[in-house]
Amino acid sequence: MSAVLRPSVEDLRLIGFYLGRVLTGLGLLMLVPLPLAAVLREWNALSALLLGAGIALTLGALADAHLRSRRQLGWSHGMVVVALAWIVGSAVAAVPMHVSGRFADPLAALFEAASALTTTGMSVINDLDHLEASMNLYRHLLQIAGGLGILIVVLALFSAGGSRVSTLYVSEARDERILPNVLRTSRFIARVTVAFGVAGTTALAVALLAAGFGPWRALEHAVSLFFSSFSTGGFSVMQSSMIAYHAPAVEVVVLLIMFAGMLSFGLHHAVWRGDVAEVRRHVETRTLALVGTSLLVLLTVGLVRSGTYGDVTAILRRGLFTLVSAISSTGHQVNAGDTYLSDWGVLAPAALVGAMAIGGMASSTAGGIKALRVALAVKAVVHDIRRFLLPESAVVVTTYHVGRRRILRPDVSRAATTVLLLYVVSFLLGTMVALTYGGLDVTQALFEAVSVGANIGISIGVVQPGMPSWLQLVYVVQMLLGRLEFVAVLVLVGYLLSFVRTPRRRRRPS
Amino acid sequence: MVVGRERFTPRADVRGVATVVAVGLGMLGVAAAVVAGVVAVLRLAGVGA
Amino acid sequence: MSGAAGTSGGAAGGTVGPRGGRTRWALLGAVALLVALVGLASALDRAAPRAERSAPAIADLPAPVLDAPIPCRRSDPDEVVTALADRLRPGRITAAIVVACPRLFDGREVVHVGEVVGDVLRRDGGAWVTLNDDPYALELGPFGAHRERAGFNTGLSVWLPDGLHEDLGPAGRHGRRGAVLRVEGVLRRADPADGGGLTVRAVSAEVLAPSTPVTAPVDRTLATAAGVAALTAAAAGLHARRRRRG
Repeated sequence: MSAVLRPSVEDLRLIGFYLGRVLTGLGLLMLVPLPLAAVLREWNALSALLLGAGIALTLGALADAHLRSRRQLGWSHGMVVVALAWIVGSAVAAVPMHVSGRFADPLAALFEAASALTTTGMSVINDLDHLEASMNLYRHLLQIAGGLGILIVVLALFSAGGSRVSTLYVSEARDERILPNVLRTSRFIARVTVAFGVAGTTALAVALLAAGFGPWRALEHAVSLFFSSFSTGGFSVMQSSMIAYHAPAVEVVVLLIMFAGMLSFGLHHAVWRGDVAEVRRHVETRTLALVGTSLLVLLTVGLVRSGTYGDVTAILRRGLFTLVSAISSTGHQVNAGDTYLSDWGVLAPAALVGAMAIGGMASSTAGGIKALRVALAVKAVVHDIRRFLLPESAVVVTTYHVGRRRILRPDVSRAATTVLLLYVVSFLLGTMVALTYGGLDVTQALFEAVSVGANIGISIGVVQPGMPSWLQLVYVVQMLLGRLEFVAVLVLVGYLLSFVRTPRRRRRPS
Repeated sequence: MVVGRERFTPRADVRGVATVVAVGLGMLGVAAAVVAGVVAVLRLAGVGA
Repeated sequence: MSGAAGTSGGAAGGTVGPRGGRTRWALLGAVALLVALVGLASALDRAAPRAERSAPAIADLPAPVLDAPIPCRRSDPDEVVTALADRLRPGRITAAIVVACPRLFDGREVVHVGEVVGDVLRRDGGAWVTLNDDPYALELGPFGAHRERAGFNTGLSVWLPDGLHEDLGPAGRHGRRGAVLRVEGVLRRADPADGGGLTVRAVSAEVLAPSTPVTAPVDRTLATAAGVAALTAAAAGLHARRRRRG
């Protein structure tokens, strides 16, 4: 059965109404740094943010006034709203950035906004180290908004689609009513975020004070670091990212926050309920433990063999940190990106690429293919191999544990492998486009494409102000596809195509 | 995952954060052990500077 | 959804009415709106006041040791790296040159000139600073006062033992250009004291230009546009409220 029927004006109205709500939220978010801008007399930043807020809130209010509808938000509407929220949201969020003058052109501003909202964390900003504090707060707020937003979407919307959803979010409820789901889910996500926020920001502030920061700067960095680490986004206050801190305590706290951010919210829910055993049983924990350990071994061998680092401390503080940053899809860096190419040998960067591609857990803010899909794809392959090897009459059943033991059904494993392949296609496409420019090494092209397509944000140096525009555009598309896990964008494309298709005859749903 | 039907207390919040932190620290410990082990093996094998 | 017809999304055989025209207009309107947004933002960016550069007055800035960064790899044989060393002129290193081939400079005595940015982290008998050597630091001054775009910030971490960091003044950030420092020291590609970080351990430091406040001219056009946008939003909000009530 086709997911998309030709949308009517009523459908567009409904979509427009909810998109308006998203824009209102974005506008309110832009107001948050205003008091800071006023206190610090960052008048131009204040104007830029106020302009953006005014535009977003105007659009939101007009949508609210004229597009109200009594209809229920259905699943395919929800998908289109989600896709548009990130696309249109990026465009509107880019306005304050563009007028600040710090971006080479509108595309660069869009890149930055999309990078923020998709929690990728790659930046093309000019002179970050002299950026207004209010503008930097804005960048980090976009990350936490994008991260939490995708969480709500994934938990409430994707999972409500049930088995027809090719993103594969295992759901208990075949819930047709989207909104009640969204509200319930948001409350829990808010709860967890605030809990980690309080603990994380406090711990960071203490560690930063101990590291030599003044009290206000410690607070600024603590809040920013929490936003970008928990959302697994990866923006930073300084261009030098995590290099600027020189403090193991800060790095450990950030590691823990990144870990919390990449955990499936299903697991957070289990932990909140007191069901700690679920952590051990969950297929994603096991997958990431196995994959993470393997990649860590490869990374360590690579670093030692190439002579990059010889002592355990350096391998932990540079290698392990970067690996966790990659798997969690945060993107914080403790090395200058160019040194992955010039100083890390070949095996270690390859391990990083693998970590980035696999990504974190489903139902979290993490990016990448997701551990759940990797696990299911591998199980599917093993399942098929077993079927070949065993006699024809044997019944082969493969199971996995998410909340409870589940049987691996063909449609589920098919969905997992399909999206996995789509990610790989995205990575390869990004690599190819980068290589067409010449002057780039395969390692650089692949590294950057995977980092962008999996919403990681670790840069080997390709992404920078003044980078080629076509490549920048491809990266924006990759970021959005990756964040939305392809489905929402495909539904949107289906909607758009339906306008192009000439109406031959009415299609009846099968 | 059925979310949001429960009512959580602040105690659950504290316990939740503490559990995640504990698991995270445990994983860091394991990672450190793995790295130390690999480095030791490589040194024995004469690999690396 | 799973077999459920007539739920949502305009099921059951499509929809009726002259929707083709209206939906097309709606979509075109949305696209036009986005284009207008981009146009407005670009116009405002171009209308921003262009101020003077606040270039630091640095006398005798040494030339970089290389005209351009020369990349190398870990796998390159030692002879290749030694040959590169022969091409180094006397002068200062830059972050770009070093990260292209950290091996080349490991353990070498170097001269680095840069702006102190971010924070001076005083602890353990000294201070960590980040010295930026990008165009904003050494030529143009911080972005904001001027609007010349010159790419990313680039810099190196420098450890200043006690005695070298006391007179730096506030570090560079928005509204301030930090002190421009000339340090001599040893570059460590994987400094054990920094858990493997790339650092310069300074033995001497000289302030070439002091920390200076920098003001960005207030962009009146932008402020006006922001005011108009705010008022429009307020009006739209009232309009929406009235329609909700009515």
